[in-house]
Amino acid sequence: MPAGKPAVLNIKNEDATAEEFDSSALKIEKVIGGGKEGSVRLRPLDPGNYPFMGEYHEDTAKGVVIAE
Amino acid sequence: MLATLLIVFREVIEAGLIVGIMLAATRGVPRRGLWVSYGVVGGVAGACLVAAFASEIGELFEGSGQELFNAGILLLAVGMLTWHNVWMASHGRVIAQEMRQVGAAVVAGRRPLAALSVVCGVAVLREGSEVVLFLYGIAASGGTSALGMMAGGVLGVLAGAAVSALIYLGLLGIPARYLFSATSGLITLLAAGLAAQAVAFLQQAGYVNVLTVSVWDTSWLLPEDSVIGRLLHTLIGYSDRPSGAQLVVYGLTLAIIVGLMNLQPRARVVSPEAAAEMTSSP
Repeated sequence: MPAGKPAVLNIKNEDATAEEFDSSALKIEKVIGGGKEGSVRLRPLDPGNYPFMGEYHEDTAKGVVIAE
Repeated sequence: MLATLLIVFREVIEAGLIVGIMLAATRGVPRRGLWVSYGVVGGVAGACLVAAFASEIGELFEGSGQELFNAGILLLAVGMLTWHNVWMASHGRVIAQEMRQVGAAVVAGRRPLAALSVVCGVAVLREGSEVVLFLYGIAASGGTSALGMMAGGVLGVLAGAAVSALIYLGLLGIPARYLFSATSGLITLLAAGLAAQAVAFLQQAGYVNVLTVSVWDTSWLLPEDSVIGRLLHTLIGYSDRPSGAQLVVYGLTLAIIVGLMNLQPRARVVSPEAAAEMTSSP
């Protein structure tokens, strides 16, 4: 995504159970129910990598937002 | 199992720190254990309710229900902590005197214990609802590892409670005449940190769209998801990338609480009844 601009992130939980979308880098914590969707605002980001994870499946549910 | 233990441990410590401070702040007050227990039990019940209705809460206010709910209960806690500190500013000296003269047991029980009870409840509710959702997910997914992970969850709760108890005992090591200023200071910083967290939730939901840019980035020095970063986040609201609005609200909250505390007439008499009269007609 472009750096320096706010954005909206839409998250879809395809599991049957709830998950918490968590990123200390993006400053986001949001619980999303099983099979539900949610959206969060991203603040304008400096160029860089911003990792996130599903807190309830820390080992496997990982990703990164790249701002450039 | 270890991963489960760590996740649960982390959440329990965050709530436990706050409960420990509340207990230390009410040292020597009769029936404080009861009030704090009300808060904790209420928080656990609330956590189960919030977890059960997580999706429903989330869908309110066009999908921002969860953020508004979190911001709301955080601000409720900020209000209660402010009330407690302002009350202590006018009565604390009297209580400290009494503790020296007649021992802890006779200290008047007029303090706003309900306020601290609510704060404990909010802390347990917030962290607890995450634990409940997490453990429920494990239980629901079944499988052979589920039992071991549940055991990890239980151990995590016990370990978190044990560390929280140690922190409480550490706070009790502070001599009585400094204890109230120490806990008042801790509570002021705690309240400012909670207010800043509430702002983060409002920004995440798009209700506060000013000063959203991060003011600094200290994640290379002290990442917020490290152990110390998390403890400081809970205790004083440390953030490795705070937004401008968070900093403004943090500073405002500090200024308001300290200002209100200094506006209180200092009672110098011994009996709490007389102190109460002095504050009502300064």
